[in-house]
Amino acid sequence: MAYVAIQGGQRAIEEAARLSEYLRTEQGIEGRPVSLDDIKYQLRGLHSRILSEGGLYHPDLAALAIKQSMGDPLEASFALRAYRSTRPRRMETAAHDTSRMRLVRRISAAFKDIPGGQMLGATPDYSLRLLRFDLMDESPEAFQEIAGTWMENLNADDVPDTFPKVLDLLMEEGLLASSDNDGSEEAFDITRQPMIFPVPRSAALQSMARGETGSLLMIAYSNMRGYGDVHPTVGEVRVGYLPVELPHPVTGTPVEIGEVLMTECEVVAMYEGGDDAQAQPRFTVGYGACFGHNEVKAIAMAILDRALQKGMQDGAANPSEDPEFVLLHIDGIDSMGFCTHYKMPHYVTFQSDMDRLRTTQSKKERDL
Amino acid sequence: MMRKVLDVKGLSKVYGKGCPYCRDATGPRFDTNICPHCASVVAVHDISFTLYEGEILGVMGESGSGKSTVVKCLYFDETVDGGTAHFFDNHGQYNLFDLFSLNAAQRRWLRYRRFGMVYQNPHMGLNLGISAGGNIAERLLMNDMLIYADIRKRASELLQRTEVPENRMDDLPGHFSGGMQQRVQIAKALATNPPLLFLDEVTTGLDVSVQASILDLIIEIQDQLKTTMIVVTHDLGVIRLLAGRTIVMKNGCIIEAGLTDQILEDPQHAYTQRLVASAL
Amino acid sequence: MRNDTPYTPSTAYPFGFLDAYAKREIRRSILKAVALPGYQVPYASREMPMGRGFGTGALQLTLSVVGPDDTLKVIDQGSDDSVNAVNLRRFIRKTCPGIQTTTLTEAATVLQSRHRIPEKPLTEEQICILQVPYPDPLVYVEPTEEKRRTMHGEADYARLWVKLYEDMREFDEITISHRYPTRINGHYVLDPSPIPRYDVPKLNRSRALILFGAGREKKIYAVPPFTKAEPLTFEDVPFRTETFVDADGNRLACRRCGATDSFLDEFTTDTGEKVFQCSDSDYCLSRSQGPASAIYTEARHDA
Repeated sequence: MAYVAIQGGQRAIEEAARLSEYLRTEQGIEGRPVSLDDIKYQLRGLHSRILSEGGLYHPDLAALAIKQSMGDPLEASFALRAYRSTRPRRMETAAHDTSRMRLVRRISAAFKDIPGGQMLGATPDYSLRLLRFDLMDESPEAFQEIAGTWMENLNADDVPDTFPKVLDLLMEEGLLASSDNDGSEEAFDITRQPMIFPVPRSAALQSMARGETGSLLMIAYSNMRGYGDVHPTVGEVRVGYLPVELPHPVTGTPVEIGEVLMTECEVVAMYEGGDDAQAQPRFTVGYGACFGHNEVKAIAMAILDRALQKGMQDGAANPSEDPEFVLLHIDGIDSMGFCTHYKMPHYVTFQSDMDRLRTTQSKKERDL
Repeated sequence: MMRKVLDVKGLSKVYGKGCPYCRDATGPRFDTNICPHCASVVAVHDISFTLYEGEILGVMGESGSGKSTVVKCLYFDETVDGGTAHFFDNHGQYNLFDLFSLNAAQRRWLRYRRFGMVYQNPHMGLNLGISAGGNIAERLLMNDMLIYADIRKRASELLQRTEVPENRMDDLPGHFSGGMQQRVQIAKALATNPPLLFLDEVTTGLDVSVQASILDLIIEIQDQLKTTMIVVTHDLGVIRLLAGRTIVMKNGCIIEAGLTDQILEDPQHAYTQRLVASAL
Repeated sequence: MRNDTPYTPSTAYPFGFLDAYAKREIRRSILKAVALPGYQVPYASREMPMGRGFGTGALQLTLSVVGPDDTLKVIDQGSDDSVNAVNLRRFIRKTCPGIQTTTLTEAATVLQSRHRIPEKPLTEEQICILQVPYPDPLVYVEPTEEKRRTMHGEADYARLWVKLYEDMREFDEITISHRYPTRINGHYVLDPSPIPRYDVPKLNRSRALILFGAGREKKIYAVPPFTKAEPLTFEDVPFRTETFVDADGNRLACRRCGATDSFLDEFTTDTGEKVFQCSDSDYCLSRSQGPASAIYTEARHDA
């Protein structure tokens, strides 16, 4: 009986898993299992994306998630996120000052030069997107040699440890409102509290920080193209390692426990008037930050942050300014899950649909 | 003795954050409703009037005078910044309550059952994505009329009453002419036989012949149903035809009030005199 | 329903997968949902290791209410052996050591289901947990959640009725098939999850507690036992469930067990013949082979 496909579900699932496992190892004796380090070091872009969309900074497990999902970014983030929901929460960090980041890259589009200097770092921005055929059959020796001698030619004193933030310059000059947030305000926690709209900005920022890169980019791009008017200037994009501190369990003093690779972006947007007739107009700011090295995501997030603030203040004039629209549609785990679920059997509801249509049709037939 | 329906005292509405000087620095004396100190707009300042059963009160003024804001406040489209309004409703739950002290659910109850509103723009009063009959059904459903056949019958009666051809009942009002859309709005507003009806510039922008037929309809309705109405308009002709009494507004304040005939024959305020003269 | 087992070191996952804080929050939300029948309680839905839309909301409820002494039944489309039901059952067995699973409706203390309520009447001893893709019936007429919350608070459902009116006007029928808007205890209207119309009357004054979990939309709601549940309709347009009749108007029967009082799945065989059989596999098996025969399915799952 053909229909019995749905019977024996148990076996089908097990066999599907076995088949997937075969595909993962299909190279056979020619193959070598990819190591977690290979993924961490050689698939940096993907790895960074999983750290950020998985919402958990765990480089080893992120690499493992990539490995078991065979490189599917939605599946990998999903596995990491699901692992996260089983972990108890031991402690919470205080607000961290990102000017303490140990930078590997920082640039500003707003000024030709900035205190501390522009620092291009490792970026594909100005590389020619030509296929590098020389990598097709790269020898291990050539591969190892490049990094092997790299550090010898560097002078550690060339770059300072930390840099002042570009936005501080604008604040000093009064072109930008100084931040009224000193970090003491308790942040909303989207993993512990349900979002009931309207939500505070901290909830919006958290949702976007673990949002799916492509979704954030798409909505932000709609704003850039004309369904919105943020007109951003990148005040600063910085990529680097932020030391993370936790309060000491006994003394309460902050103790450094490690560092996280993160990307941060601040965009300066069109100015607006103050609260009353006397107040000076000032530039407005959008903020984006996420785990890993994900510049497109951080910039898109900063633009959306600005658009959402505007929407919350004046009412949404386009989708990118609508907090419900943006925040409920950017999560990769939610959206891919729901998209996938349409593959599940729906024959009961479809039976019900057919019944309705037949009833309606027969009524129509009677009327004609 | 005429029965009071509505008693409005000191109604005020400010757009913007307002300041202590707002009210003393705006109004007809200064020929502005924008506060020079805080840039807030004093849309309505200290408006008081009484409405009696079955009468049509005209509220006249140029655009920006605050006349529409008055009815929007009374219909709860806008919140107020001061004043009271008592609704004397023999059959209602909120008889003698101050309207502005009611909570959201109580306001909605009044909006759905005891008040009717016809907006200048049909988009405001109608859902153009559902049929004309569906629009009327919405108001009936809000009043717990849950028998489909009865809803159809009542909607059809109302559309006939407002001279909308019966075969248009199941069409989308988005495809109707401006005049017909207003007729559907009126039918919708009348669905629950509300004792109080607000009409905000309902003939503005329509052809003169269509205007005349809509005004005729309003007079008939008033005549047959004894509905009390507030008619907001900038059009002296509408006032002359409909309103027994009229208040004239300028810069958010009432500058003149009285019997319509009296105001039109013998205007007291210089602004009203100019208005009347220009219409002749 | 005891639920206090700490970590099981062998798997490194806690009993019931979720951390204790999450389960406590969900149980608090369930209590609130029971106290306010039909009200959608927002909660901080956790990520589960299966896709959103595969029952992660109901699963979180199940994991929060089951203890090792519970007996669980999981069905999808009425069937215990549907791939998704198998997958969920497997996961729950793995993360809730000691728990019993069954295919026998009457033997279960907790039932998780997608798209069906079992044919056998449920009892006061049981909790039925339904998987919900869209928790809010007002989404038909209002896309903004903020506005919908106010509408629910004020029991302002006129626009939903207008949708029914417009259906009647156009088709002379209310076209909503599954997810039929249902008013609970005279106030809140809920989305009963994509159960067919056939199952909606089972909600009314149900002896079992019925819980609804929407994981992606992060809502929990409930129809408490013995609570009124009325499908929205006009007084002169009776609510009708799916009919299974042949061209002569005779009630069709299940080809396996002969039942003429169950929801039927319709399908076409390889030879082009249209056949019908019970959607509820346990009901069908109990009828055709006697109650004991159902146990065999459990043994198979335990293998």
